[in-house]
Amino acid sequence: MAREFDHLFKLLIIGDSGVGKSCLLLRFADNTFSGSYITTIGVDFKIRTLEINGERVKLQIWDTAGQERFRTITSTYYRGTHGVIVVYDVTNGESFANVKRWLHEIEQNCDVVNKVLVGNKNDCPSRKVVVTEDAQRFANQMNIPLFETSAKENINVEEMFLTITKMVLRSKLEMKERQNVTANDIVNIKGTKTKNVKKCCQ
Amino acid sequence: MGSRLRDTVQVLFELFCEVSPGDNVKEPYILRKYPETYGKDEELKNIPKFTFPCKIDNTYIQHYSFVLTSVDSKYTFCFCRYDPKVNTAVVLLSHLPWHDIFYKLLDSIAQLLNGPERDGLTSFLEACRAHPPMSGHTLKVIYNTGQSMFTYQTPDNRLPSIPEDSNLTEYFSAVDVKCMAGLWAALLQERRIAIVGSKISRLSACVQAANATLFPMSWQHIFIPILPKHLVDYLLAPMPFLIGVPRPVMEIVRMSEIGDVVILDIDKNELRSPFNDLESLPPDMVSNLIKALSNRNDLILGDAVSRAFLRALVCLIGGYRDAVRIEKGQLITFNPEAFVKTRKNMQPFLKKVLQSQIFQQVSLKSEFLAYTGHLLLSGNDSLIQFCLKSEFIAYGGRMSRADNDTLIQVSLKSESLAYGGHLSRADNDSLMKVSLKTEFLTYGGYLSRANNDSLIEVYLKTEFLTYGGHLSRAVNDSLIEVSLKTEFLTYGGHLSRSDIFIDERLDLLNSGRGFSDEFEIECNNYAEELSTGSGQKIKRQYRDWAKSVKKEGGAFFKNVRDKANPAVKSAVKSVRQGGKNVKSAMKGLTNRIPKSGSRSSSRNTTDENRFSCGSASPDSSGSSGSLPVSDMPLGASPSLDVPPPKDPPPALPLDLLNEMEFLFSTNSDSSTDITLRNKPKPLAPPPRIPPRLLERPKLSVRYPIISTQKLVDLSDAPLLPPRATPGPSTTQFISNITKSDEKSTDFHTSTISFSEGKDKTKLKLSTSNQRKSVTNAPCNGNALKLPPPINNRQCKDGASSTFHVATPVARPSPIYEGRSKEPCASESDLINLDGLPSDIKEFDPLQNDSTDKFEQAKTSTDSALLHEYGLDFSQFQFSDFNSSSGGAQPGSSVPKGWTTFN
Repeated sequence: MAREFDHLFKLLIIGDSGVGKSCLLLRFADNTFSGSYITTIGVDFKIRTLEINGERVKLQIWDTAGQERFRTITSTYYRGTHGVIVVYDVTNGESFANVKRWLHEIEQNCDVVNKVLVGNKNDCPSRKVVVTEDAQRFANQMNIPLFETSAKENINVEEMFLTITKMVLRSKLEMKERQNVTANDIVNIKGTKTKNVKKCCQ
Repeated sequence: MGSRLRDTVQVLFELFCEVSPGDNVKEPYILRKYPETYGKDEELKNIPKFTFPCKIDNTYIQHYSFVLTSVDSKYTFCFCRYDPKVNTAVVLLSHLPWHDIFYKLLDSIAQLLNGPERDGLTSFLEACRAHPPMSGHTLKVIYNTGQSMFTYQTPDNRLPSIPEDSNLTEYFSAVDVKCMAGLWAALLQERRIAIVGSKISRLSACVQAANATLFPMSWQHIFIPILPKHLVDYLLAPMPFLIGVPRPVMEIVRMSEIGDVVILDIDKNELRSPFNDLESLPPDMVSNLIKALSNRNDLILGDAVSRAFLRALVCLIGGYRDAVRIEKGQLITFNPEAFVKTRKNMQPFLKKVLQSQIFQQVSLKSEFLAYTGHLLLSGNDSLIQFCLKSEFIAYGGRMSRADNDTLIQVSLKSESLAYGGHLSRADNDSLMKVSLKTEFLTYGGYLSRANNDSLIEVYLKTEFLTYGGHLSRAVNDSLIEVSLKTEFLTYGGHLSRSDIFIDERLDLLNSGRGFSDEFEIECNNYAEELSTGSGQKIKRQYRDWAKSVKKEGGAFFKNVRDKANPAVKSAVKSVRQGGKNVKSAMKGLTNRIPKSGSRSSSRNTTDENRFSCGSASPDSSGSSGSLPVSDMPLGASPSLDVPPPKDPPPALPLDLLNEMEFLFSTNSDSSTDITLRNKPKPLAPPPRIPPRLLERPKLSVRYPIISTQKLVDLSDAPLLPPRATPGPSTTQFISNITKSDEKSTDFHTSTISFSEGKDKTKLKLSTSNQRKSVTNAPCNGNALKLPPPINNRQCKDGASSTFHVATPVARPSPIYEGRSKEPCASESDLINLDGLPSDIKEFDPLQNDSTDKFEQAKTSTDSALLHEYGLDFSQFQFSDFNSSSGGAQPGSSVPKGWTTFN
């Protein structure tokens, strides 16, 4: 039975409300569910299938309502995901501050999860308050890629999603490799270990 | 619960609709709806599909509920009743999670809808779609041309109990203890959880009940009690979720894609989990939990199940109190590392807990509390639970004494929070209802102890508010009358009730007069009782802290005063200051904790002592002795043969707070009554008119009003705009909101004179008499809702008088009466004024009023408040004030001398 994809990745998009998360998703997604379920059940996702290096990757990008009520986003929230897209609004300094806080939090939890930092609404220089240099400095410090996008003008959106997808794919492949090596070294690894790996690679 | 309930509930339900399941060709659709103008298209579009999430068993009537989540992650509860005979479902959308009430309401609606009186449905719905009465109150709607009556009492903060709570009952009967505990552990670990069942009704109940076991925390992630078929892909969500999946829906799930999900099958009573969550919990805690849950004898009735989970949680995370760092002169902070250390042998788990979203939500709130010093005061778990539930806190507001859930419900809903205003002791509903909707809040003012609605009425309408001043303990109208008209308020001084308390105490101490012995002794006893509690450390620190405060008493108060003066801008400071005061109050209380061991008696004592050093009032002393309460074993559920306990049984270590809570609840109840009485008034009189004066005449008016055919008794719900204008003049509906305790229901219902008749009156009288003894019996604060004074009052008024009339007046009286009867030499000059009954008249501005006895006492209290701020009018003012206000009764009672304070 042929699957229509080789990899299924679940990504999470986080950021204050109003930073344009859903616009980014709409811009990117090729498969949109009818109705906006985020307004009825507090969660929604968009799907897009990409081909990277000949591998078909199906992306599910999940968005939940009311994240801003979390002062911190704890690891339980994103532990099931392969990557996190952290979005702020370049015209809103507070949204950037929140994002910094969240990323620091994620960092502290020492979780290995792929992240990109996205400054959306980068289409009106006069209203921009989060300057690129600041954001870049922060991104460097956190060692994550920064993208300044505009969902409205369709600037940089595709690149951003492609980048996170590649990152996720690469870490999956690396992990597989590592796992193979480990498996060769130690024949019997504990069942739980295998399980974990499987979870990440599903 | 918690932040996921909506802040602004204006009406009992948002929408009623009848939904047809459609057929093979047609999708489910809405047949009718009320109100017709309901405009949320997204919801309307989805309701039918959620109502019929899949093919539904159509052999019997089912009640079930689903939940919609808005973009701000708030819940809208949708209650459904499916009737196979007509093959439609009636649905109510509401922001309130009151399952059992709405199921009952749906029954009534179905009865109307399917009966001959179908035309009456709209007017019935209209009558019901009112502002919900405050907690513990009852709404009655008579319909069907008087033949039927829908009545409900708004839930209070009790834990869910069996069998009253249908969700919990269903859950408990569906799965065994092991599954419940296992699921609970998975919830704590924030897993992706699916509950699967074939019966929709049981499924939704189990999901709701499972969530409730987390109390006081609540699920922060995706929450879908019934997942409709078309949303099945949402089970692929990588984030934590708690989803109820109807079996037909589960069958189409591609299990290979779904990943690591914890699945509870309620049909098979089977929990499948890829994790070992329960094993990762501390074994002794788990065994205790399971033992408590397995003790079926105790469980059959009451809240034993809920309490077992709550205790387990306390065991796990209750130590957060010990992780609160108190440094003298500094803000109080929450220390995660300390938190982890609070429980030996569960540190790994606590670390995990720290990283869970649900705990973050809680601790964030507690941190807030800690910042304002209130946590310390929250010796009592119920209080904490309350506090934790509110977003209020998240807004940096402070709620130091949310004694009753009403407060919370309301306060959370108010913009107040957004403005960081704080309401530390709004004892009564009226206050809340009104105050929250006034600009008062927008000015960030805060009102910590507006005990009566008169206060509010006046208050809110005065410039006072615009100055953002705040008045924490304007106990009586006189104060208000005067204060509102003085610049006093413009200085924004703030008097929190605890300030007053501690000030009083400190005053007494400093002056060498000491405290009332009785109170002291009781406090000490209480402290001993508490010594095993987890809050012990804090209390100790508190004591130290308070001790230093005490030492620096003079300077401290001066400080407060200084800060208070620069009006609004100092609000923040004063809040902090207030927090400190609270701490010291705590200390004071701790010292004085009742020795008797009888909670009830101690409460009474506390109550009295708070306001005066006089000995216990007749009511309290009588009751304390007579009540079995004192012997009530902790943890035992008192509810076995009686209607569910008003309050959570005293299972948790009691605290000062508990004590205080009792006080407050007492106050609040009585104040509620006041509201009723005053109700007519608020509409008419200009705010400035001294409420007191008007009140009296109004009393008699009340009955006639009630007996009118179509009456929506607004008395309890000043706010509700929809009801404010008399509805269509159909005569068949009579809705009446009364305050009712379980125990006091009889007399409350007596208000409805038309339906109940004379017998009721008698009944209520007898009830009232009983009350005297009973009042203190319940271990919990709420149970004590009716102030003892009522009895006295009643006696005075004569048998013919109704409780309602009596009650309002009575509220403050317990305290004051006690005081007046036993003048305490040690009291400050203020107190002396009211000390002797005979003297009262001289001081009381409202001499004409029959209630002047109480008035006088109040006055003294007020002055105490002022005094606290260095606004000491007591010396010159009482005579002055009294005479002036008395003379000014007609409406302008601005005493000339007032502007001179400071």
